[in-house]
Amino acid sequence: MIVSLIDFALPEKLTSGDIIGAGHLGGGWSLSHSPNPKLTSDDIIGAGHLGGGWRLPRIPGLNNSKNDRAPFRIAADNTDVVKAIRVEVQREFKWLRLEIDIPATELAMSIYKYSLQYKCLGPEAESGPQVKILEYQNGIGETFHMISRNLARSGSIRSIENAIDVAQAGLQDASYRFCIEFRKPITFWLYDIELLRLEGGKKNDYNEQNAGRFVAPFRAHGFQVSAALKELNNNMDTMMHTSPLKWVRDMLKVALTLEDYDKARGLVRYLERNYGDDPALLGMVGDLILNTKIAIGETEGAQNFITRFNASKRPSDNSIIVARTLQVRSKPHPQYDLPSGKSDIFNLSKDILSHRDVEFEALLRNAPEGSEHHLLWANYFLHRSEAEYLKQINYYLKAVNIPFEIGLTDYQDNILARVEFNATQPLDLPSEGPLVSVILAAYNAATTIKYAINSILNQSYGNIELLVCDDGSDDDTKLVLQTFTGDPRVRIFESSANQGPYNIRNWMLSKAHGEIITFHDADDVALPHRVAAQLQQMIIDKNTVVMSQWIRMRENGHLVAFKDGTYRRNCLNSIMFTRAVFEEYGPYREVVCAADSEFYEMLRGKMTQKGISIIPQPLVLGLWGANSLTRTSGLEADELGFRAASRRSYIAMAARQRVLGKHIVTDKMVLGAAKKAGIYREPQAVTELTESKD
Amino acid sequence: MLVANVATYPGRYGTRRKALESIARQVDMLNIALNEYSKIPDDLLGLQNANFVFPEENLKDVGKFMFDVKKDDDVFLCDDDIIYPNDYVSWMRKVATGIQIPGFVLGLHGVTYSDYYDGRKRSGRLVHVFHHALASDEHVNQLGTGTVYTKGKNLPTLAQMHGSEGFVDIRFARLMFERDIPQICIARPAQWLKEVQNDQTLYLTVTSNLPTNALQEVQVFGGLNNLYT
Repeated sequence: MIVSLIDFALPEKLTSGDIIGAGHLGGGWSLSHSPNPKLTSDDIIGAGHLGGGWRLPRIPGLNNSKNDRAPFRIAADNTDVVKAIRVEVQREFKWLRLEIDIPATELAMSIYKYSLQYKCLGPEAESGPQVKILEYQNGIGETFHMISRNLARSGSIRSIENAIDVAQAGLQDASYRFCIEFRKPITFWLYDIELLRLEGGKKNDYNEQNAGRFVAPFRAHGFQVSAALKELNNNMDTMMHTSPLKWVRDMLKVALTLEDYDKARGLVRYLERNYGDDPALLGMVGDLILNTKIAIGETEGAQNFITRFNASKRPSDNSIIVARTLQVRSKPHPQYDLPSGKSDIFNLSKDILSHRDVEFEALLRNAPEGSEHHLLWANYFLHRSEAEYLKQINYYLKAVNIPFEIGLTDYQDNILARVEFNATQPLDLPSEGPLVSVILAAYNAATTIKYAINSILNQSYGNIELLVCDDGSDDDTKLVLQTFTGDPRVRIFESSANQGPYNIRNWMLSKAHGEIITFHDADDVALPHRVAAQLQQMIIDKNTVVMSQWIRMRENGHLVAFKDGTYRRNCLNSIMFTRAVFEEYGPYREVVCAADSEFYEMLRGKMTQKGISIIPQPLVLGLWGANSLTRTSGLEADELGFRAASRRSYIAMAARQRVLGKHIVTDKMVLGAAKKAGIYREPQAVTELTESKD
Repeated sequence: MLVANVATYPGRYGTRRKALESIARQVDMLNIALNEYSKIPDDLLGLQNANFVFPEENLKDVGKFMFDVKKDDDVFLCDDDIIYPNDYVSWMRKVATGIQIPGFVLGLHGVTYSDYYDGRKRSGRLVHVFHHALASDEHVNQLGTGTVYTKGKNLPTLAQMHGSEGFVDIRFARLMFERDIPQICIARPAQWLKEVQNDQTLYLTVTSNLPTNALQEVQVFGGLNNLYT
């Protein structure tokens, strides 16, 4: 099937009189030469468009005019029956090119047929005319596809037909030119050139907007690392000669951003091998190396590295924080102070948790600016005064404009089971609207599921259905669920075997009636206005995806601070989207952990930041408990940055697929990584236990 | 024994003799895979130490892997469009004695890929072209199999190379990587080796930059992260 044809018409402006010079030739053609062809003042070179698109750089003070000593001439030639361009190259050039534009959109990853009719007189030489497609970026042209290295000489018109397999597509931010390049003295007649695309191109299903053209998604979409990766790849050859350490550092940043710790580890190995003794290493990449070692669990390596790092002139906040956490003896630094002048909230918070003797003055001195200092104080008061503890949390909620304050009911081991909410102001949020389906997967959640469900049923938004599925629990989860069968909003399901939360999500999405979907975890508490607030944000922003944030609490009420000294994080579980979004970008990967991160990162890259609304408020209180997936042995993701090996390998492969595309990293490869790591789960059937409304 | 392996085909008639002579005179045996031939072409008849083999199918550049070699043989993988200097074999062997890494492959055309390589030819690759100068030895992801020197024990089998026609360098590199055999691109002056120009347009052929399966193989071994294990 022929899907495209570019028949390059010959230049329009050429006359039978010789035009000595270069520039645009009409019809898209141009003639150009290497930047320094050693022209003398005797060589008269014209410039400008010659019609058809041919061009050559303008030489100041010289115009199109004849001169017998000119290094080349170009003219229309009608001496044969067929009209031709004649190019006379009369001296050696680094290159002299006859070029014509090709629309980038025409360059698909596909089989093409190119045909050329030409005549060529001159001595046989190794460096004869070349035919190629050039790619121009930032004014610099390089070979995109070599078609012929050395056209044979021929005194009669010669026809060539050649199939070429273009294995990459044109980029939207580059321009392309078909080109015949001369280097040696020769006389060349061009009669015709055609380029035919013979196939529709290979569709890259990760990149629908470029259907029929393969470009890696990072070159087409706004993934977090897209711009950096594009620049690194495009400049690799240059930068590895001029500033290799910078290139490797930036690539390491990309790998860490993608959470591709296997590649990060290899890059660290490369750095240590090549720059191990270079003082620049610590300053430029010290933190990145440290974070890599922490993430992959190389604790001893991290400790050794920190000792060196902190003995250097410029230890970082990060290295001091990690040193304190790992209890590495290093250069003394005042307690909880950091080199940047900030405070080490992470260790301060942890020390409060472990009942270390944290001075009241230390808190006064180090409490962070902004609303989160209330959370540090809440932690301080947790074991001293429950009233003060609550007061600080409620100060915080008020400071971040949450229209509720919390209270605590009678004592239970898990503080989230005691949380109750009291409105502090009237809600200016919708209570009715489209049906919102809330999906909840429960596995061995007998002790937490009740409060988790109640927090959804107590939402201020009225039109909710809750689909909750017991994922093959060994405990009494199913019994607890049965206590909710009387509520018409609750639909209860059971899985025939444990299959992980994301398989359950995929199932429940097929059962849900709502056009709006969101999720909730079996051990978390949603604030009463969570659904209404997210729905309203979706409407205001006219977006199809919205997410809120959360703060994490240990069972005893201790609030979890992260290494960057903050408490609040985006809450992936709170993601809310229209059914159409899931139909376009779903389903979730069939794994037991991190599939929501993969899904979200993909949305973020393809929908752009503006397409996703984030409510910068904690609308969920999350349990930081031993049963959380991030705390489960073998699947850990801790607050210092450690990532369990099984989690790492899947996340890395999924990230590579995200930036390189399914064409290169197939679904089979991603699932293969998950299976090898033991986190893949075969989807199992689910049955609805409540009366189905289908 | 000093052995060189090369593959050729009719399209190289007229341009290959000089190239093959340049390596033949430096080795004990020059193994030549004659793709698309049923008899020895006349331009190769005078090569005294040549061992000609006619592949049953057109193996293209994989043909250079069809020969049996002994584990201790010094094997040079060559191309029929490169002029090898007179000291090529002796110099490569001399360099090998100075390298302190057990089990390695040496070469002159080296490629190191970006850690996220998307198949673009002019992007995401650091290429040490064989006829350009290189100041010092460099670990690379991939050596061009037209300029490789190694021991026979390291040479992949024909079965291992099967299906890599058009991207033998990539398959070879992947196999070396999987066996933890470092690939080192050695220092040399510019134009130590020279390329013979050929007209690729004489034949209706399909040339590919990089097929998908080759690109996927690059992902296995490519990137600076894979240079040192």
